[in-house]
Amino acid sequence: MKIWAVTKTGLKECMRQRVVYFIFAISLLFIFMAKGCDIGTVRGENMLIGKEARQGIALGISFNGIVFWSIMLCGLLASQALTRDMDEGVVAVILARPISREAFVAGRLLPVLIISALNLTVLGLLFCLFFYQTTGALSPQQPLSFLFMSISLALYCLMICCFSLFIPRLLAPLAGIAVYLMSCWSSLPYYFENLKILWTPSETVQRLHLLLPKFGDLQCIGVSISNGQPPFELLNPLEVCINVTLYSNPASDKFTIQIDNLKEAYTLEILNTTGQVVLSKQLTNSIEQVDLSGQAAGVYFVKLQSVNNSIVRKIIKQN
Amino acid sequence: MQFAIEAQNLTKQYGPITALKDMTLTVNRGEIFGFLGPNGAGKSTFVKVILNLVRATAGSARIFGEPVTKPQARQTVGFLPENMRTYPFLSIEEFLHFHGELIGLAAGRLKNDISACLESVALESVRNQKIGTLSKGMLQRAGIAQAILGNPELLILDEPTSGLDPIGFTELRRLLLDMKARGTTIFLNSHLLSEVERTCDRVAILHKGKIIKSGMRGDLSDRGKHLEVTAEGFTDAMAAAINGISHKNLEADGKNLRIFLSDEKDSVAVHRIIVEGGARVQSLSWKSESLEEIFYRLVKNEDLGGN
Repeated sequence: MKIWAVTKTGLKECMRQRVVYFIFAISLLFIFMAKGCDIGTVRGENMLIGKEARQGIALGISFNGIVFWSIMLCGLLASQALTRDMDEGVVAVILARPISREAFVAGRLLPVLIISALNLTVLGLLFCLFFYQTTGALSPQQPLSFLFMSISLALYCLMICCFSLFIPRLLAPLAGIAVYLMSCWSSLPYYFENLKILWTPSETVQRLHLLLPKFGDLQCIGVSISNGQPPFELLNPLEVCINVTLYSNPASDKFTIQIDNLKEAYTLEILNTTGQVVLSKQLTNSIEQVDLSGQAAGVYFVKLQSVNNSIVRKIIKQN
Repeated sequence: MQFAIEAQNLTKQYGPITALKDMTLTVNRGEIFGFLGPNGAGKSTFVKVILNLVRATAGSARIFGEPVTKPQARQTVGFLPENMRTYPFLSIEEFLHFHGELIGLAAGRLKNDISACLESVALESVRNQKIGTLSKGMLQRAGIAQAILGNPELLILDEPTSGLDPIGFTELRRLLLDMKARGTTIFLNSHLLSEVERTCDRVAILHKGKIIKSGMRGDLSDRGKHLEVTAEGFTDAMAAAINGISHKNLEADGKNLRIFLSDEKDSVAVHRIIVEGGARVQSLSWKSESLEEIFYRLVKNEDLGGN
């Protein structure tokens, strides 16, 4: 009851802060922003990303927007939870009552967690609705990810509170966010690795990924543990992306096309610079030779088309 | 006998600074205890240790027999800090409700207690006003209401008259005496010596972390009563003659004299010396040393001794 008395007062204090509503509004914007925007065609080095992948990226923007602004909200509230009471001398009047320090600290942190969880619940429901509208399906992974994110924020809240006791109040959330992003960042190379866009993480980065705290992406890890799958398959266009290599390029009469991760049938079309199809065939093997001997020297476009994917590469034919 | 407050060999150090030095003090149940000392003497530190707001470096303290480190020791304690601060967004009633919940008062009793407390400090009409909009005096009254909520058995007040107007002084004094009559122990930490003198049963004077004097209000002075004379035309010859019968030196400040006599009957001789010497006596009365005088003298002596 004593903890609840402190918590109720803390909740009143939190709900009086305009920043709570401001951040909630921004998070809402992220949901509708992703819904409303056509992000167009995203080009990787070796590929194009299909419709589903684009949906995935839009969902990713929403999800990560919610994550980021929830972290901001939690950080700001947590950094003030204890320090303001200590700076303003409020704490002496309260601790002179028969309440332990632990109960007081818990009572001051609970409102932050309740507001954060409430924020996540509302945004999570809206996100799931948006997810369902966009993809026509909803699995337990999406709500679960928000549940695990709440746990992640609880850890974050504790960390900020500890920081705020030793470093200036405003620096505490920044330091917390830095650690949080660092722990997320350590996972980013894996997204890139899987997408095979530009970068294979070095051994150092891979080690960092293992060593750094993982609460930043606890929501992903938690969902993976609970059902053995990543929370947002659509966030990873890797499932629908392939890596295409053409050699030799420039080519003389023939060139070889190699497709890694070939999972579906592709139609190959060779187009000249005027857009005319000069050659067309079905690809069934991951390595195939293409004969350009009947074509004039110049630049040609190699277009690979499947149900989910479309990839265009350039090849030069020499005399 | 179980004391309301019992401190044994308390020492508190803040780095190289010793705020309390091996301090032993007891406060009896049901008394009003005045705790005096110049700035930096360690009064607030003592209160903080008693309320477990800071931990003592050495020694122990108990409230009604319970070690102060246990939260239940503060179950029946009301506390008013020197500069009362609280959440400005709460109304006075919400503020008291919050503290009532911290004490663990049942909802039914809490409502009545809040009304009674607000009535005691004359804040009933502004019970819905936000704390952040209160004047200093009203905030102090709200703090007093918070301290007396739930009829505490021990009331610790740190400069309770701060910010109060003369009416507030009088009302507070009446309130404290009422509470004392109901058996509440009151620990009064104040610079306002006249108020302490009027209300307290026992007094302790603290200086540089040590108690330099403690006892019943009337027994603090070891100088007994003195004759206070106002006379015009007082001369050195008269002073020499009076010194002959005074058991301590005569203290003269212009035409005001303080004469310490071992026998009250000698006052007649003093009067004769002054009148026969040609001076005019304007007033002559027996006085005890006031608390302010005792305080000033003891602190000065300690400082001189320290130097």
